[in-house]
Amino acid sequence: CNPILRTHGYVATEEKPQAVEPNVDTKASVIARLGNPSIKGTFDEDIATDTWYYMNSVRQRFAYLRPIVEERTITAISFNEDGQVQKVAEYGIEDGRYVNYSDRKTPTRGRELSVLEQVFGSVGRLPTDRLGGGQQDIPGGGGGPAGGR
Amino acid sequence: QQSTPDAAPAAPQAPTVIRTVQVQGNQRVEANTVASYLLFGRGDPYSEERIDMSVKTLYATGLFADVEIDPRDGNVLISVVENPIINRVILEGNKSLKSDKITDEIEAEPRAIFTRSKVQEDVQRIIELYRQSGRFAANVVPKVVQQPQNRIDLIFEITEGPVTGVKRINFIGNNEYSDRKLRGEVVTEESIWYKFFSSNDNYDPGRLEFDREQLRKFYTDRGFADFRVVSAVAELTPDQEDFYITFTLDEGEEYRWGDIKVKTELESLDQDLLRRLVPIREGELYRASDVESAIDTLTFAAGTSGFAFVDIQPEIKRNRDTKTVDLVFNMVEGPRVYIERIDIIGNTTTLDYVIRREMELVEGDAFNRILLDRSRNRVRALRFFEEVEITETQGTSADRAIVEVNVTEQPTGEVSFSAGFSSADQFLVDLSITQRNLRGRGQLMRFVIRASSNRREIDLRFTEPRFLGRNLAAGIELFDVTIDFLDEAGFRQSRTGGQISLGFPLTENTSLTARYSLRTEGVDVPGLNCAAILADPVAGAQNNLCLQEGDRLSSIGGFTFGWDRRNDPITPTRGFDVRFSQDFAGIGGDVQYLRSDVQANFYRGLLKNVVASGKLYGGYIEGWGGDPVNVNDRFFKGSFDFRGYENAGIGPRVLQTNELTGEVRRGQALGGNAYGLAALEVSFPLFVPSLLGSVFAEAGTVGLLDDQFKFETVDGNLRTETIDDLSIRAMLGASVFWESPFGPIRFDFTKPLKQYEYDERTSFQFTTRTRF
Amino acid sequence: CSVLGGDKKEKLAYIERPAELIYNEGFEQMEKREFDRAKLFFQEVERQHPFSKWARRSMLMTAFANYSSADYEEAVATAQRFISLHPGNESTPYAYYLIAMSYYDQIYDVGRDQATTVNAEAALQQVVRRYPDSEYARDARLKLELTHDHLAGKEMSIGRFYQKENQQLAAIGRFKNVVKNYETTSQTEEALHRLVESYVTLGILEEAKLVGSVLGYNYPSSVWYEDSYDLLAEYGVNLNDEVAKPRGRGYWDRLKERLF
Repeated sequence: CNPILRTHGYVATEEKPQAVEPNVDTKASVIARLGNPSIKGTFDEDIATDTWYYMNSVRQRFAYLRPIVEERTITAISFNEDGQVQKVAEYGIEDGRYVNYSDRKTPTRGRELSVLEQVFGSVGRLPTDRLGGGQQDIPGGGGGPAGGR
Repeated sequence: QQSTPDAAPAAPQAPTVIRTVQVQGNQRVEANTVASYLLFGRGDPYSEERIDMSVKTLYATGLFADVEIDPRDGNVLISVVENPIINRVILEGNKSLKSDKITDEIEAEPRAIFTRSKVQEDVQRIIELYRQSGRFAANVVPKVVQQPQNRIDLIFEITEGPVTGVKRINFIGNNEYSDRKLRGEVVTEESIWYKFFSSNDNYDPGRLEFDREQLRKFYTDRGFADFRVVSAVAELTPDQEDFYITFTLDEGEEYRWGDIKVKTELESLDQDLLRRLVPIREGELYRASDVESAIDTLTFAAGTSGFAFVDIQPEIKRNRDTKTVDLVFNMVEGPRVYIERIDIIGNTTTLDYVIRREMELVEGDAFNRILLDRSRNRVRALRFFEEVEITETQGTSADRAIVEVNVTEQPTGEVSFSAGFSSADQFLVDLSITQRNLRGRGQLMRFVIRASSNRREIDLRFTEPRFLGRNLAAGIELFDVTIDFLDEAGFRQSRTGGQISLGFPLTENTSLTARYSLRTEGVDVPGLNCAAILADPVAGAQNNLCLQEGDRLSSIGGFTFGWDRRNDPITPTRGFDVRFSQDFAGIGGDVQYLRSDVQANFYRGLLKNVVASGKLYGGYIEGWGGDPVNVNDRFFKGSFDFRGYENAGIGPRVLQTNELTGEVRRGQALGGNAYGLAALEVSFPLFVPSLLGSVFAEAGTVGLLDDQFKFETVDGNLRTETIDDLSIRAMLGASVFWESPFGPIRFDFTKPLKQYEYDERTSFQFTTRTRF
Repeated sequence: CSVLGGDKKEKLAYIERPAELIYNEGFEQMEKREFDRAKLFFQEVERQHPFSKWARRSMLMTAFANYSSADYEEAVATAQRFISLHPGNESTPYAYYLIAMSYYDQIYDVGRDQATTVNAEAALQQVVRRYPDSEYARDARLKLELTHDHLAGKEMSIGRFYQKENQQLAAIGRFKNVVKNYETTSQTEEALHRLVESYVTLGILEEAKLVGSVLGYNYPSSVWYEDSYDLLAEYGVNLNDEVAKPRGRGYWDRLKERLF
C-alpha cells in the first residue's frame, strides 16, 4: 500500500515559473502566463523593488507517520522599479531549515464553554459570567433608567 | 371616532421663512420624535417640496394613520393621528392549524402598532399557510374592536373550507409507459381514503414543478432524449373540493448512444485511455444520467494526473434519422483558481482545528471540487453535525476563491437507554452516556452501565482521534463484564481488564487498528459441586464444565484491517466495507488461541431511498500449544446478532433423547469454534415519513467443537449426546424502524425457514435509544 | 399581593392598575434579580398604559431584564423596538449600548464561530458613531478594541494551526492578514515573529530578515522580537544592525506597506 501524495500551492501547467527570463519579461507578462503569485514580498534593501514567489510543494502521508514534505520548489522573481524582471532565484526543499516554533501565545478572551456545556452539549442558556469590562448594572444610571428619566 | 381637522382655510400667500413648528394630536409619540423626522426646522426657508417630503417620511414610519402639515404662514402646525396599538390578537375559526402556528407567521402581536397595510399582509400570510396545507378555499376577514386610549383588539375571522385534495392524476401522450407507472414516479398522490397519513395528496404548485422534473428524469434515463412535459395543469372542481391534474407529455423517439469521443488539447492526457474510462458503450440505450457520472470520472482522472483546473463540456448531438445520440467530451483547461481562505462557520461547540484538519485542501491550494466533496464527507463522518455544507465565493481577485464550510451542530452527547424483551433476556436495561465531541476537541468518551437478567457490564472508553497531532487514533478502555449463560450453557462468565488501541489510515480507503488487551477471564459453574465431580470424572456435560471452571489471565494482541469503499459514511447507497481482524492470545497469560474474524457489508441503492444491503460474517478460533478453546472464548450467536434466535440459540448443544418415547429435551448450548452468517436486507420508507421498514433473510451456523468436549452417554433408554453438525439455520424476517419523538425504536419479527427442534427461538425484540 | 401563577408562562390577571404601581413592582423584582417576573410587570405597564412615559421606561427595563437573564435575542429585539418607537428619546443611546452588550457577552473563544463577535463589532461601532461623546461611547471604544483583538486572535490561531501542520504558504497568508488588517491589535508582534519563523522554515532568509527588521523597528522591546533576533542570529543575521542602519525618510512605513 503506497503513501497518499498531495500537491499544495501553485500548480504549474505548461507555463513553468522557472522559464521567466530576466529583463525580458515584465510584471504584466508574468501575470498573464502564470497568474498571481503565491506570496508577494520585497527582496533587497532598496524597497522600490518587488519580489514574487511561486511556491509548490508535494507532501506524502503514510499511515500514522507525520506527513513529510517530499518536494518543494519556490521561484522568486524580483522586478526593478519599472516592473522588469531583474533576477529569478530558486529555492528547493534543501534550503528549508528546521525551526522549533515558540509555543507562547498572545492571550485572547472569549467565553470558554463551561465544562458542563461541553460534556452535555448545549444544555439551555446558562447566564455566564460577563466578559471583561461588563458592569452588572447599567453604566451611567443607578439601577437602570428608573432614575426618573 | 378620530376627529379629522376641518379643511384648511384658503391658502394665504406662502410664507418665506418658518418661524415656529408645532405638533398636535400626538399621544404616544413625543413631539421631538415627530420633529426629528421633519426635513425642515425653525429658521429654515419655507419650501413646499420639503413639506411634502416630510409628510411622506412621517407616513413611512408607520406610526401615524393620518398626517397634515398646515403652513399657517410660518407657524407650521403638524397635526397627526397616531396608529392605534394592538392590545390583543384573537384568531377565530382555525381548527386544522393551531393558533400559535399562525401567530408565529403573522407580524401583528400585542403592543405592536396597528396599520392597515400590515394587517392586509397578515391576511395573505394566513391564506398562504392554509394553501400549503392544502386548503385552497380558506378565507380570512380581519376585524377591529376599539379599546380605550387608542388601543384596538385585532380579530382574524378564519373560514377554513374543505381540504382540496387531488382527485385524479391523468397523463396524455404517454404511449410507452402506463398512467399507473408514471403515477408511481410522481410525488403528488391521489388522495385515497385509507391514505389518511399522507401529506402528498393535497395540491401544491411547488410539488407540481418537482413532478415535471421527476418525469423528465424518468424518461431521459430510458432513451427518450427529446422528451418534454408540454404542460402540467391543475383544474379545481366547481365545489372547490378537489383538483384534477393533467400532464401532457411529448415522449419523442427512443434513442441509443452513437459514437462517444473524448477530445482534449492537454497533451499529457491520453485520449483513448480517457475514452475507456467513460462507462458508456455505443449502441446502449441513451441515459441522461450517464453523462453526469462520465464527467465525474473524467474530472477525477484529470485531477489525479495533476490537472486541477480541468473543465469538461459535453457536446450532445441528436441525429433524428438514425435515432442515435453522439457525445463529445471536450476537456479544456479551466480557469486557474486558487483557494484564498477557508472559513469555518456555525461551529458553536466544535473547535475550528477539529474540522479544519479533516479538510483535504489547504489555503493556497488549487481549487479542486473532488477534494472538496471528499472533505465534506470526512467532516460528516465525524458525526458531530446535522448538516455540512461547503460553498465557494469569488475571492479578492479573479483567480482567487473563498471556501466557506458551514456546519450545524447536533447534540453529540447521548444518553442511550435500550430495553430488550425476549424469552431469554427477560428484561435488559442498558444505560450509556456517550459524548462524541468532548470539549469540542473531537474526543470520544463513553461510559456504559448495562444490567439485565443475565448480564452486568461497566465499560469506560476514551479515544483521541489525532494522538500526538498525527493521523493516529489512540483509545483506552476499561471494562468489567459478567455474562450469565446459566440457563443456556450452565456457566457464568466474567471478564475484567483493559485494552489500548492505535488506529491509522493506510491509503485513501484502507485503515489498520492494532490493539493489546489484558484481562482476567472467569468461568463460574454455581450449580455444580465440581470438587466431587472431578474426583471421579464421568464423561458428560458437568464434567466438561468443571474442567473449564476457574479464572485465567488472557493477554491478547490483535489487529483489524478495514477497507471502506462506501459512497457515504452514514447512509451508504453504494459500495462496500470489509473488516478483517485477528486476535492472538498467548503473549504470556494462561490462555492460548488464535481467533480470526471477517465482517463484510455490501450496499446497493435500488430506487429512491430503497437500499439493498448484504452481510457476510464469519469467524474461526483455534487453541494452540495443545490448549482447547475454553467455553467463554467460543462463539455464541443469537438474539441481536442473529435475529430470530435466543441468546446462544443456535450451535452445538447437549441433547437428551428418550429412545422409548422419541421425546427430545434440549440441554446446554456449548458454543462453537467457528461461525458463519449471511444476510440480505432491503430497507424502504413506509408511507408515514418517520417510519422505515425492512425485510430480511438470514442464514447462519455455529459449530466445530473441540473433541474433548464431545461425549455420548446412554443411561437406560435416555441417550445424552452432544450435537455439533454445523447445520445451516435460515430464517425470514421483517422489522420496523420508527424515529419516535423520544428516539429511534426498532421492532423485529421473525419466522424460521429451516430450524432444528433444539434451537431456542424468539419471535419479537425491540430496542430504543434517546438522545439529549 | 401578587397574582402570579406558578407555571413558567405566567400570566398577570388583567386588572387595570396605575402605571407607576405596576412599574415599581417590576422594579422591585429587578432588585431581587427575579428578571422573568420583572418582565411580566413591565410588559403589563406597556399593555395597560401604552402612552404613559412609564410605558417607554418599561420597554427599556424589559430589554435590560432580558439582558440580565442572558436571553440575548429577546434583549436585542426589545431594545430595537424601543429605538424604532422613540428614536429621539434621551435613553435611546442606552438602548443601542444594550444591543452591543448583548452581542458582546456572547463572544465565544477563538476556537469557535465568531459570528457574535462580528455582530458585537458592528453594534459597538453604531454606539460610537451615533453618540460619540456619551459615556457609552467611551466603554464601546474600549470594547471595540477587544473585539478587534479577538478577531485577530482567531486569525493567529488558524495561522499557528497551519504552521504546525507545516503548511507554510497557508500560515504566511494568515499572519500577513493579521499585520495588514489588524495592525493596532496586540497580535501583530506575534504575527511578525511567526512570519520570520515560516520564512526561515522555507529557507527564504532575506524575507525573514526584512520582516524581522520591521518587528524590531516597531516593537524593539517586544519578547517576540527577542525570539526573532535569536532565531536569525543562528543564520548569521543580526537584526539589531538591520534596525540601526541609516534609512531614507519614511523607509519603514513604505517597507511595511510593501510587505503587507
